[in-house]
Amino acid sequence: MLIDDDDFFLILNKDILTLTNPDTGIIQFNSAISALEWMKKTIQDHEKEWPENILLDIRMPFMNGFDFLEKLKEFPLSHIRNIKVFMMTSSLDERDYIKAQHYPFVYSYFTKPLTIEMIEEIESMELKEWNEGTGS
Amino acid sequence: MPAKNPHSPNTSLEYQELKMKYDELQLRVTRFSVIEQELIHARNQMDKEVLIYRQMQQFNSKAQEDITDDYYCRLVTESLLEIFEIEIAFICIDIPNSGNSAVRHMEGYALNEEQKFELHLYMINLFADLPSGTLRSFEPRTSDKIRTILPVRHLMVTQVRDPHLNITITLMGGITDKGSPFYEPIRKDREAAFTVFSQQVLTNETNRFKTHTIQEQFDALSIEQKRITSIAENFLNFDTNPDKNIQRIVDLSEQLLSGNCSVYEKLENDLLFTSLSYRQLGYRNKESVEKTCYKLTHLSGSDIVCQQITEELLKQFNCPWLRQFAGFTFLGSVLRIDKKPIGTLAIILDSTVAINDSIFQLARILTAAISVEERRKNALKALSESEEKYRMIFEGTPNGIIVADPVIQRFQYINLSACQLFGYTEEEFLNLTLEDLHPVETAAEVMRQFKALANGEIKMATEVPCKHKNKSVFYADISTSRISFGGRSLLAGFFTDVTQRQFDQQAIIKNNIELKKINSELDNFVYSVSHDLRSPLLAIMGLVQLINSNHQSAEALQKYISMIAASATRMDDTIKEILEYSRNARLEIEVSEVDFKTLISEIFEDVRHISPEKITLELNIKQDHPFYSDSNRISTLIKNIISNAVKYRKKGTVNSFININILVTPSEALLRFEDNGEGIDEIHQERIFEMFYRASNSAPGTGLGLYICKEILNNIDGSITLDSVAGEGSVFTVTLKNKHK
Repeated sequence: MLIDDDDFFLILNKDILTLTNPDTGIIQFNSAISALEWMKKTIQDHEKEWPENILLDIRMPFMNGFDFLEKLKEFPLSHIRNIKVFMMTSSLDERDYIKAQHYPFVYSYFTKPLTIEMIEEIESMELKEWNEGTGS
Repeated sequence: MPAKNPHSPNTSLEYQELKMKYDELQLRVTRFSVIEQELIHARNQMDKEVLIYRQMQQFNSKAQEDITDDYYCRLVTESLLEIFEIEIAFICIDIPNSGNSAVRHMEGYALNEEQKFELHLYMINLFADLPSGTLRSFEPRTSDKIRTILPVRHLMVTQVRDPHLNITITLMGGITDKGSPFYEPIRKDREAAFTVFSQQVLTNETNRFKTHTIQEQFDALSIEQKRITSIAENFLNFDTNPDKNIQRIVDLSEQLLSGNCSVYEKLENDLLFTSLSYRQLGYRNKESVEKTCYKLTHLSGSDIVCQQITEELLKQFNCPWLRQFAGFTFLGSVLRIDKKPIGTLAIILDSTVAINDSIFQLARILTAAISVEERRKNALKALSESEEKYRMIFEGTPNGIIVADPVIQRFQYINLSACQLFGYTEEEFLNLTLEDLHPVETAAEVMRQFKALANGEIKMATEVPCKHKNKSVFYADISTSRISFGGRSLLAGFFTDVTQRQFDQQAIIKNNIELKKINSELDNFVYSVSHDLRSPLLAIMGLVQLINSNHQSAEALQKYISMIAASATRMDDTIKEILEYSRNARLEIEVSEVDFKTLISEIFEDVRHISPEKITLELNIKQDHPFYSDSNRISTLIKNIISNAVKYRKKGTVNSFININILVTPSEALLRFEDNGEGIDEIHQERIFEMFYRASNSAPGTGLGLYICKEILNNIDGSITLDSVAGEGSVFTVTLKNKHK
């Protein structure tokens, strides 16, 4: 799942992902709100389709990446424990990086643009073991 | 006669016998008569004697009354005339030691003082070398000297003396030629009575003299007592003004010495005051006295003598010291305070004044008095200095000081600063209580703080709310301390007005908050700018990566290259906007005439190509007056609004429009921008002018455009309002001030 307000990055990311893994199912949103709405609907409708990896832009209007992460916490644990979130940012601000550490489902923090090396890293990541209370 | 006598023979014998008996009887009768006569005479004599002594007795009782010398003399002479049945009487009382001249009195004959004196001299010669009490009775010869003074035919004189008191009394009684037919010469038998009388006169006179002397001594004693009382009173009534006291001492010394002196007081080698017997010298005021003293000083060298006296006295003497010089007597005495010599007192006496104990006594008294006065003066000076010092501290300090009596719960002393702080006068303060000085709401807390202060738990009560007379509240730091004053334990409160400090603190806090806000804005700005500048760059890097990878179709490559170009444009736009922002913040306002028509047409030509679809511009300008403002800023403002209308048009429609209505008045310009674009949701309308706030993601943007608009309007005196319905369109109304040249 790709979330970025910048259309250019959505195109860019989709193209590079398709280039490396042509079989990967990609779903993209240009706002965090529409992404959340889709996810809620998916749970409601008991659809099997559920994102495995989320590439999340931090700086977006209305709802930024961190707001999205807060909303994500409210999802059932059974669903979010299977998600790996990768933060994508164009800023060089360290505070964003530190803030991102507080979310257990954030696996890594990348500076744009998405590169083939990053995709390889994402693929190599294994799902964390979730302990009681870690998600709070 | 025998015939007639029948008893003839016998008759003769009987006759003889009878005759003899008769004669005998006759003789006896005669003798008896003589005796009787003698007896009568003796009785008369006795009566006369008794009368004399009674008269003497009367004289005595009169003489013992408190009468003057003159009256006494008259009494003596009148008594002489009466008792001794004489024509003239004279008395002379001589008391050489008394200093008074002799008292003389003549009764029965007129004599002047000179004649009385001559008569007195005659008497003295008469009794020269004769013992007291000698009586002389004689008829003076015509050649006698007394006949030249008095036409006296017979006189009786006696002189009596009291050897102890040295009183001599001469008494004279006499008959003149003129009075002789009626006055017999003084009888011998009166001589004894005269002597007795003269003794009585003397006794009376000595008694009188003794009484008089005692009275004089008594008077002297009471004068002395009065003097001492006067000195005591003078010292008791010492004035608070030291100059007056010095004058008083001067007056006193003159009074005590009754004139003939001058007083010098030398303190630390300065001649502080001088005084002279100015009444005697005929001077009335102090200046002339001082001049005289100066003259005296130079003429007699008394200053040098004073110097010598001072040196001598300081060396050895503890008591007044005397020295004669140049016809004056100098009496010196050392002035001391606590046994330390502080100067010298010199009393300069006229040589006519006899030196006696009382002058020494006076010197001692004056010395003591001046020393006491000097000490008092020093003490007063020290007191007033320390009082002055504390008053200066008390009144001069900017801190308010209030001294309260905790027992009666009343304020005792309030300094000026405290009065100013609270707005009450000192008098008003005296009727206030603690409750009047602090707002009711905080009274409990204030009392708690005061208790803590009193117990020493805290050193200072900080920012205590206090109530001014006009009910306004100010804040003060209050520290207290216990002071002991006049035997009472009082509480002093020191008030420092910290209202300004608190105000300043609040201002600093406010400034700090603003600074923090600015700082965070700046931070946000840097963050956003770096993001917005980096984003297109990072996109280009990603695109380059894609282009460089293998197996790209020509179509894809074309797409990536156009995306690179768009990204570059975006970056350029961002940089331009930042420049606009900075230009507005930095550049001075340049007023020139604004041509809205040309301006808007040019802007629209620049931005219309953003939209692939056609957009209609309708421009309507009502302008009768030229409009002046900063053209560059207005251009930026209008460009941002129009480009927003173009960027956030309703995509896919063919009838997009922008209607611009402009009305220019002499005072302002009203600009109304209406579009039928996507509109702005109500939840975003409030924040849309904030820095970097983006309400829509339908077109790329920095979130700076409208923020810059608002900033521009702040600079050129304008305002902007928004009226928009999401999905239908927006109306921006801008008001601009017409800045005439």
